[in-house]
Amino acid sequence: MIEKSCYYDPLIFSKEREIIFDSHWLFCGLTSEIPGRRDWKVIEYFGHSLILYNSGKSIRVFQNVCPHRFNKIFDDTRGRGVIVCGYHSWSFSEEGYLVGNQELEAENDKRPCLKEYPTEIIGQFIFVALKTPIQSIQKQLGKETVEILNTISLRLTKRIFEQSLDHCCNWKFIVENVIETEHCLSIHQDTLVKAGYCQNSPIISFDSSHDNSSFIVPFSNDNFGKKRNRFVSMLFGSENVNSNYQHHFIFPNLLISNFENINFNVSKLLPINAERTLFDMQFFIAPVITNNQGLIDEFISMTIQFGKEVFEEDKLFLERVQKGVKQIDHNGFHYKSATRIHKFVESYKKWMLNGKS
Amino acid sequence: MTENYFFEKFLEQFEESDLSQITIDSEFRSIEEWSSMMALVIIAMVDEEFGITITGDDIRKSVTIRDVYNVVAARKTAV
Repeated sequence: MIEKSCYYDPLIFSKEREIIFDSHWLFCGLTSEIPGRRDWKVIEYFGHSLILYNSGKSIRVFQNVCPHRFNKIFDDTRGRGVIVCGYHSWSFSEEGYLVGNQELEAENDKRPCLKEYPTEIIGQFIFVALKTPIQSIQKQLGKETVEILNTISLRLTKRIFEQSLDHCCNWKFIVENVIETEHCLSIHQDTLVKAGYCQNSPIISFDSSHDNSSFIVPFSNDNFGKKRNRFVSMLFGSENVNSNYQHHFIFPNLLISNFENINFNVSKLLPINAERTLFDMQFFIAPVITNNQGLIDEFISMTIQFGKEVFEEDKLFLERVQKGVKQIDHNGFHYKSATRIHKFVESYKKWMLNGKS
Repeated sequence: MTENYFFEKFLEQFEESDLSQITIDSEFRSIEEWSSMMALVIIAMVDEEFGITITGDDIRKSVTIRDVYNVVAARKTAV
């Protein structure tokens, strides 16, 4: 078990930030969010405001702070254009160097530039290192996870919804919630269970030398499932559909749900403090093969509604759990069968005790 | 497409409900099995059987099975 104070103690949170988040490659976005040259997106990570920028040649991640007088450059979360600070109109090249201010450039030996963070891309997934990472992205993720990310990237063709849900709870409660299915029968009865996704036992898999884990839950092929197959095969083609629900946790902050290989949820956790976490999610559907726009639109509408309901159901309980953890005098219990949680706990403890996995 | 044929196809989508009291003028939401997913099943059935595209809004605005039939019939005539 994780010691209960780890879920609310600010000092432990600071240690986690240093030991876990500052030393890992962190998922920060998808290349399809900034598809064109000069497209940018801003995300906030542990007080770092980052610009994900498409330079036309590569994806770069800059600090969203002007090196001149420290103004925050972009206030919006997304846009397109040259990086220009509004305070003194300093503008920056696609490589992050100051342009158009010769006097200042001549006075300094070092040409001013935006701070740039190390960045790696796997498929569509962009990873950033807030400080110097202790290992390569391939070593951190492992071969299997790299393969999963590359494969899923090909299916993330149409983004249908995105939102950031502010959770008043510790980031680890969210991880522990999404990597087990035992709670589904209680709180997702009208959503995940009714849709046939969590009626069977999950088949759990680990990459033993890494901190990631996955499960596959075979889809229930009852009458409900058969009905669903009628429109699913019309939309996506039966050969493209897997009859299962897959979930992947990629340590420490990337969560992917894959429903039948036709709709996906890609989420990242942005811990704000020990008791608050931003759950940033995007829903996608795979390529459709029908021209029936009525069917496509209704499927998208149902998928969004479904996803929002599931997340709201979880949020309600996670915030109650956060309140409860401070009141109890022990560290709680986990099901023996919740082996993904045990794996997560083991990884978390290793990092916190030894600073490495 | 006859009214009866459409009604028959509509009811075929429901496999677990007692449909003995259901007529074409019944409110389809009163069928026990009805759910938001059934709207997709009906949209797919209309495409497959009649080659017509209807939308989720068409279903939401309809109350009885006849209302849905009227949407399909009107669209079929327009084609």
